[in-house]
Amino acid sequence: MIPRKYLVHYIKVPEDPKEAFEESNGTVYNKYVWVRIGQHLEAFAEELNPQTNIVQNIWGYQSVVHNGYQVQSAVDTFYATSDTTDNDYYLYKYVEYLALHRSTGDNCKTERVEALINIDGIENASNSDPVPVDWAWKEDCYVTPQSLGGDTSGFQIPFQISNLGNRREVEISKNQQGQILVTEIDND
Amino acid sequence: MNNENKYIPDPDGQESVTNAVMEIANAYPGLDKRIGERFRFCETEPEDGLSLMVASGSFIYDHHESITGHVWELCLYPLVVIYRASGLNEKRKMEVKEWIDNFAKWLTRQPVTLKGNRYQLKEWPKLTDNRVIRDVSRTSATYLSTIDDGKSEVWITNLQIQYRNEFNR
Repeated sequence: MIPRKYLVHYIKVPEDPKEAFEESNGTVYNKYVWVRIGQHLEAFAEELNPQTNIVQNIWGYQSVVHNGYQVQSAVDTFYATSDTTDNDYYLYKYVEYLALHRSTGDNCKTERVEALINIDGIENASNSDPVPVDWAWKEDCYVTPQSLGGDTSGFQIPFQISNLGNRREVEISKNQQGQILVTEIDND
Repeated sequence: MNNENKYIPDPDGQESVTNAVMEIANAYPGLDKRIGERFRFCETEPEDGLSLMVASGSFIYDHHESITGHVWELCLYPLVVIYRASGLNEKRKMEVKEWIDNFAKWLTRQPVTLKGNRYQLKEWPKLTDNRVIRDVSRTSATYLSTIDDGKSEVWITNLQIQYRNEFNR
C-alpha cells in the first residue's frame, strides 16, 4: 500500500495578495509560492464528481451519457496562522484576503498540482534536482473561502477548490531554498 | 484512535510539563515568600508543606495524523495539589481549603483576589519541543484526604493538564 503522504497537493498563492491584486501598477506580479495542502487534514481528496446519465434504451440495453467531471476539493479544516515560518502562512494570507474582500473572479483563480512522489517524504528530495514522481499534474482552479471562524481550537477559514479542467503534466523540483517549483512538460 | 492505543505514556511530555508547572506554581502570588513557602515535587515535610504529586503520569489520549504526515497528539497529565498542615482548628481548615481553591483557580487562569489584590495568570508556561499547554482544569473539589498519626492533615485537589504535541513523521 502506498502511504498517503506520497500523494502531495500544492496550490499556488501570491506572497502578498494586497500587492498582487491592488498595487501592481501595471507590472506583472510574479512572487508566487506553492503551498502544500493538508497540514491539519486527516482526509483530503479530489472529488471527481462524474456527470453521468444512465438510461435504459428500447433495445433493453443501458445507454450511458458521460458529460465529464466537475472536480472539487474541500479543505474543511484550515487554521489561520501568524507564524511566517508555518507551512500554511501564505495560503492563509491569500484565503483571508479573498474572504475579507469577498473576492470573486480572477483574484480567486490560481493553479493546483497533484503529484504522486516516490520517495519517503518530499522534504527528503534534494534541492535543485527534479523531485522523483510517478506522475504530476497541474490544473487551473478557483479558491472560494467557505466561512470565517470555527471552534475554540483556533481561527479557521475552510475553503473549496474547484478545478477548471485544463490539465497538463508537469515536473516538480525544489530550488536552493527548498521552495517548490513547477515546470510544464513539453510533450511536443 | 483505537482503544488499544489509548493510554500510551508520554514520558518526555511529563518531564517538560512537570518542570514548567513546578516553576509556575512557585510563582503563585499567594505563597508566603517571607517564610520560604514553596511547592515541592512529590514530597512534603511530615508536619506541613505544599506539594504537587503525580497521579498517574501523562499519557496520550487522542492521536491524529494528517495527509502530509503531520502528527498531533492530545495528552493528559493528572496532578494532585497537596497542602499538609498540623493542628488545624475549624477556622484554619476553612482557610486551607480556600487557599487550595484559590491556587487552583489561579492555575486554571481564573481571576483571584488575594489580600485585596486581583491576580490572573495571563498564559500557561512554555513547554519544550512542540508541546503547548491547551488547558488546565480541576477534576475534583478540595477535600480532606487523610489525617496522619501525628495529626497532620492532608488536603488535596485534583488537576488535569491538557497539552498538545506536534511533530512530522
